[in-house]
Amino acid sequence: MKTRQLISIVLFILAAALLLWWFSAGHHPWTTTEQLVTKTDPLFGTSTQVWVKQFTPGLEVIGPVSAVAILVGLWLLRRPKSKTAQ
Amino acid sequence: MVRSRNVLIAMLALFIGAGVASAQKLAVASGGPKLVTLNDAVNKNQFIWISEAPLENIKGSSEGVSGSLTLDPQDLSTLRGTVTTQTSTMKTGNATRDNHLHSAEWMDASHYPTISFTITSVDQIKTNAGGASGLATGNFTMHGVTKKVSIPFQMSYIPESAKTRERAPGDFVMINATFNISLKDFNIAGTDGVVGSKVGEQIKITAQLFGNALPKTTI
Repeated sequence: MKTRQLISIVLFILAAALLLWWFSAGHHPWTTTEQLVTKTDPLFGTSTQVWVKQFTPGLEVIGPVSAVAILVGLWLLRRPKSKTAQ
Repeated sequence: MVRSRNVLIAMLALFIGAGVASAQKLAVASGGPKLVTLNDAVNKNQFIWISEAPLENIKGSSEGVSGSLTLDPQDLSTLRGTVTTQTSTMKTGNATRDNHLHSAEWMDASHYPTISFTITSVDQIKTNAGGASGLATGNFTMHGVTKKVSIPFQMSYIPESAKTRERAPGDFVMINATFNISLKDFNIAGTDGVVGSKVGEQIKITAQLFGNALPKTTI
């Protein structure tokens, strides 16, 4: 029983961490694999934007994974049916 | 009395005329008209665009920018030229979304491979220490539709030096312009119900153009 509770807590923490990551990364609906970042040109002193490889999760990835983690966590926390009731 | 008043008016007109003329000049050694060629060796030429909609904000870029401008530092009102970018270089950082963007429903890159702006007039010129600002009016062509638009711009002019020669010959010109376009104006309807919810009807575009200027006679 204690193992099931521990796994549930880990799953809830995982779901919360994933949602926090998604929110802090800009809470985009779709995953992007590249991001525009600002680069300052030493000659002009102006800013240009360059693409860099950076995985930014979208809700289409984070949402289902978090939902599954929460559902499995809840399923593990359910009370087992009493054998005496049968 | 009348004569002296006329002289005063003539002097005033001359003074104002000289002021207007100098307002259209760049504070650089003349050397006559220049041909400014957009050149990624100077710095990366690109368009950055932003779509803001209730459900999603999208930031993307368009590269593959080319073009040339004729620029007379002594008379900025004569600035002319065309800037072109390749539609297929538009990207958002998400490959699936980029494919949608290039598809027939949106930009239709196979039929309309370029987006261009041709300057036909320049006014509201104001010079400053490092360059000038003004309003460029011209024909903006996208998705097969050409519309007359006026775009405010800022120009920086960097005379040739040992430092600039490390990248390209000639003086350097940088033009920065921010403007909005309406998708409806260019017959871009997109997927049903998406414009207005996930894609903004107005797209904010920032052009960052860099070129090297060489005397027209040496071209």
